[in-house]
This record gives sequence, C-alpha cells and structure tokens, in this order.
Amino acid sequence: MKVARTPVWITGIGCVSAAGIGRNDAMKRLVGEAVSGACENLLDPGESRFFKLRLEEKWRARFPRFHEGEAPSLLALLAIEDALDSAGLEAADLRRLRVGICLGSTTGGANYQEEFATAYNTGKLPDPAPLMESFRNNSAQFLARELGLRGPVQLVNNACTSGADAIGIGASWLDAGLCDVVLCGGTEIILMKMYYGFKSLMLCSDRPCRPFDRNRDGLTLGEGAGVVILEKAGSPRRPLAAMLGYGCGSDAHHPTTPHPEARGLALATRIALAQAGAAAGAVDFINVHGTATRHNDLAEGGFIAANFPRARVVATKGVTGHTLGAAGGLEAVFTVLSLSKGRLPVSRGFSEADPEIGVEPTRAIEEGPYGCALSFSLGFGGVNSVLCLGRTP
Amino acid sequence: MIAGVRIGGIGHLSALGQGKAALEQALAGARLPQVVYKNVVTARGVVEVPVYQAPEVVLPPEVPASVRRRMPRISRMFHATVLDAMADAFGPGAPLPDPERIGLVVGTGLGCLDSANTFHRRVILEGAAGSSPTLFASSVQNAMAAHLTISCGLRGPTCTVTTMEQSTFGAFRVAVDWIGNDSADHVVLAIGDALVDFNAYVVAHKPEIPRELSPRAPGCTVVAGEGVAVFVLSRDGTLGKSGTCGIEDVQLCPERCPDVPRVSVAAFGAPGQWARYQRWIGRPGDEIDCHAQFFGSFVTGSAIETAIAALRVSRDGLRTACVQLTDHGEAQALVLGP
Repeated sequence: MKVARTPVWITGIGCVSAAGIGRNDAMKRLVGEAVSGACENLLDPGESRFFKLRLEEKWRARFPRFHEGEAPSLLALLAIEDALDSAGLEAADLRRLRVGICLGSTTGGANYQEEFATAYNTGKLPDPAPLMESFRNNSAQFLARELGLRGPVQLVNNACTSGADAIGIGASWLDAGLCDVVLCGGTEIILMKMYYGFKSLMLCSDRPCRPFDRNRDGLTLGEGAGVVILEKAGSPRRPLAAMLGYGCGSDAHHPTTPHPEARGLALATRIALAQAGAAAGAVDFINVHGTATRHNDLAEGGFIAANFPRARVVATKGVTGHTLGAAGGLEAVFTVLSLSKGRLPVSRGFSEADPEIGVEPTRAIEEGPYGCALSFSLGFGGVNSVLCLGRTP
Repeated sequence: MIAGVRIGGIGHLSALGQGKAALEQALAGARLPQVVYKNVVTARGVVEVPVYQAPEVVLPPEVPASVRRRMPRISRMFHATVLDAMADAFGPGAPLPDPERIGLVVGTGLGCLDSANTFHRRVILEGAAGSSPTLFASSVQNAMAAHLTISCGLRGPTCTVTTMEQSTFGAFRVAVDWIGNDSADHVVLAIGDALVDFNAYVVAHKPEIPRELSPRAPGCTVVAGEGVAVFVLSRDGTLGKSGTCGIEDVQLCPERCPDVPRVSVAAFGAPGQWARYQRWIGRPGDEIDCHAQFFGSFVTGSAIETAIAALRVSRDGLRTACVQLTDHGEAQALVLGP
C-alpha cells in the first residue's frame, strides 16, 4: 500500500461541548479539575435526557437575526474562534490565505427546517422562503461566507464519523495543493426528531452514559463542535500535533449495528496506519468511539483487545455525550490535547470492566509521554473512520 | 493535475429514462424527457406545477428483502443506477474485484429529505409512538450509502457529501483522492437527488410557473427535476479496458476556467445564471454545452451534465471542462480527457 502523503500539522484546535466552551475548559473538565462554571451553565437542567447546550442568548446577542437552523453553524464558529486563538491566527488572516473549510454533521446540506416542516405537515401551508434560506446555508457554506474564505467548501454526512472524515478530507486537500489552511471537524445540534429516532432504536440511556462499563445501558446524546486547523508541515505556526494518517472502511453489514468483528474498523485502521507508516505496536493510546451501547462497545473493544494489547484506551462521551457528527472532530481535539500535554483524561462513566469486552479505559489521569494515537469513529450505515495523530517535537 | 484515474463505467437515470443509451438518444434528438404535472395546494389555491420525473426502477431479486424494505425511493434510484454502472465497468454479472478495494462516494443535495420529513410528520402526529426505527434509519443522510454497501457488498472507504450544488465535484474530489492515496483501486461515485413534496411546493410559490426549462434564458425557467448519475472510477490499468474517459483534474476553487476546447455548465434555469456562467468562462454561448432541458432543475444535475460530457469525450476525443458555479459565486471544475 502506498504511504506517501504530504506531512500535515495540526496548528490549532477548538471545541465547545458539555465539557465547556473552549479547549482549556474542556481539558480541565476531562481531567476532573474544577472549571469556571461556564460549562455547567451549558447544560439545560430541564432536559436530563441529553446534553442540551443553552446558547441561544449568546447567539442572539451576537447575531440579532439568529435562527435556530443556524445553531450548528454558530457552534462551529465558536470552535473555529477557539482554534484560531490556539494557532495565533486572527480572523482577518483567513482572508489573506487560501483557506478551505470541511465540516461534518448529521443534519445535512439541507439543514432540516423543523419549524417549516412542522407547519407544512400540519396543513398550515407556510411560506417556503425560510426553507429555501436554510438550504442555502449549510454550516460549511454559511461559515465560508461569514469568514470570507477563498478555498474549497464541503459538508460531509457520514453519520457519526462525519467529523473525523471531514478532517481526513481536509488533509487530502492540502495534499492536492487545493489550499494552504483547512478548518475542519464536526458540529451538531440535537433535533427532537433525532432524539425520538434514537429512542425508537432503544439506544438511549436515561442517565449520563457509561462507555465500556459492564452495566452500560446506552448512549446519551450531546451537542457540540470540534475543529482543528490543518496546515502543511513547515507552516510558520507551531504544531500542536501531526496528522499522520486517515482511513475509512465499510462494514457492509447492517444500517444501525456495527459488524460484530469490526470489519470496517479493521480496514480503516489498516489504511490509517499505512499512511502514517506506523505499526500497531507504535500506538500508545486510542480515543475510542465508546458510545456505551452494547454492540458498539463489544465490537470496538474486541478489536482493540485483539490488535492493540499495549495501547491505553480513553473514552470521553461520559463527559460530552454522543455528539454524533461532531464527535470525530471533538475527539480529535481531545486526542491532540492528550498528545501535546502528555496526559490522558479519566474515562468518566466507566467503573466496572466488562469481561466480554476485554479492554479497560482509563480510571484516573495517566501521565505520558505519548507519541502516537488513534481516534476511532463508528457510525450508522456501517461507516468507520480512523485518524492517526502524532506528537510533534 | 491527476494522473491515472479513469471513468470505467457510467450509469444514468433521469426523466429521459434509465441507462447510458437514453442519454445518447436524447443527444441525437430521438428521445424526450418525461414531464408530469402535479397539483400543489398553496395558500393561494391549487397550482399546477410541471416536474421532470424519472421512471420507477425495478430492483433485481438479489437485493436482500431486509434491505429492500428499508429503501426509500431515492435509495432505489441510486441502487438501480449503481448496478448499471458496475455492469458497464466490470462486465454484466462479472465477479467484483476485492470488495475492500472498492470505495463508495455518494453526493447529494437534499439526500433523504423525503424520509426525514415522513419520519418528522409521524412524530408530530403520533408522538413517540410514531417514531419508527426503520424509517429513522432510512432518514439519515448516509442511508443511501448504507443500503448500497450492504446489498452490493462494497467494503472499502465510504463517504456521503451533501454540500448542495457543490456536492457533485466535491464527491469527485474525494473519489480521486482515495485512488490517489491508495485507499481504493475503484470508487463507485453515485450522485443525484429525488423529487420531494417540497420541490413542487417551492416552485408553486413563484409569481409565474415556467412551462418549459430553458437554461440559456435570462429569466427564471426552473422546472424541478430528479436524477442520478453513477461513475465507476478506476486506477488506470485495473479494469483491463480503457473505459469512457480519463479524469485530468478536479478543481474545487479555481480562479479561472480551465483552458480546454469544450466547456459544459450546470445551468438549470435560475434567473441570471446563464450570464454568470458566460462571464466566468469568457466565451460566447454557442461554445458552451448545457442540457438541463433534458433532466430538469436540481442541485446535483451537474452529475448528469458530466455523464453527457464524458460520453462526448469518448466519442470525439476532445478535452472538456464541466463547470459548476454556486449562487454565491464559488466555482468548481472537472476536466475530462480521452
């Protein structure tokens, strides 16, 4: 398998989720430190069934004509601003460079217009103008205009691997010379119809999820955005980590259940490691998808136990919830933080090992150094994506 | 510049019918599209709206029943067209190459919007009791890809791109990059959209309803349509035949039009659209190809325009650029060569 690809640096990271607004609060929260309290206010106390962020007032103060359909774009904007800050870039710098944007989300290019659809479906014959407006404003296109970007624009819709795929596609744009900088990752708002959908599949827990735990009883949905800034190696900015490889593979098995032997995940991992020029034994830790559903954790954990016996395992959805299309982006940010700080967070929610899985995520903070990490994403449709990231000197 | 990626097979479905031959017959003036009229209820009363509608497809019995019952209309359209393209590339009934080396990229503007809306309607009307897990799984935007990978046994990389009109060439870029970085030897690239209730509803609110799509007219002649084009891209030398044509480049934000003898554009009757294309390309209109009058107005119609361009490159050997401009002025271009 050919391995050559342009070396890519991650020069900026940013995120917003139930773990907090910004990378610094998120990392503190992940390692169990007290934070300012901002992140506590993100959680809607009236909505215990999923990690609902309460940011409407913030949006309305900044964008007086804010519409709820724009919420995924604005979450991504918060993450981008955090990432620009970490890279030492100003928004104005983006207009001088060839900057592309590639985002993942499950809500699609046509942001689903719940307000219009509700009126239409109850016979109210609404004005279609808001529907057309939402069609023209998927998150990638909205932010490309908002930020004045001159590079490629793309939205990826691979269910829960979307954020990771967006990062992989962004790296390939640099490889092809299509742009100098890429803003990439994922963003997600939980629509009520999605909540009902997951409930109908009996995949939801009524309490914060417990990834890889023997008593896990399902996922907890969450909202958020995670963005990384990619540049070719040698950029004037300091690298936080290296993007070494990306692979994806399909289970070709079932629309909503992973292949029991993680067939697609195995292919995705092989491709990512081949691009990185790394052996499985070089992997120090894996940020798992870890949804806390029975089938996901069994398939993913079994694959890790068989192929990465030395690697440490980190599961972060106990803090963020499952942010669907944003998860791959958020967890790439957390992986970069772990590599750059040499410190693995606690896998919140995990307490009792499941002998069927054969893998135990971190129970306490673990100190590095760590040189090479994988971030796994699995999704509906049998999609699997793997990012291989490395520490930079 | 991309080296060594060829279009090995093509599939097509639109108001012209199913198959490459339908496109060739239309180009020869021997076939017309199927235009049907829908009565749409609006606040202004009932409005008659024309739409370009593809024929219903028949799936082969090999498609597992468990997959078939989950497939909404758009998935069936994609599936039938993918089977045609794979037969064109690999030979009818021929065994597939290593399924882990065959990737799948789906490009779509509206995707499974119809299923998503049906699911939403049932939740609104019936609450949690109306929330069907099968319908929910078919309403996520990568459902078409899921159905295709399961029923066709494609186990390589899979991706769904949904950037409205930018989906077509964005999807091409993903596919050629996978072959370029050796993630796959072949990529099945399926691009298209299906009519949903909302299409005719939106058109019905225009001050005047066009009766005929004329992509070169200055005013609005949008007539909603639907269709799918599928391309099997292969690394040069892996098919045992030359295929339809080569892919020379996929440019996602070019500053100017590629310098080629022929240009095809994805104009579909939006007001002022043709003039914008002419300005960006810098050529007189009679040197620019456009065929939306064959298949209707939809955001990924550029895929069918690309299939037509590929057939022409195969026939006359002239390099061609297919160009897409967005409402906001961003450009994309695909360069095809013999």
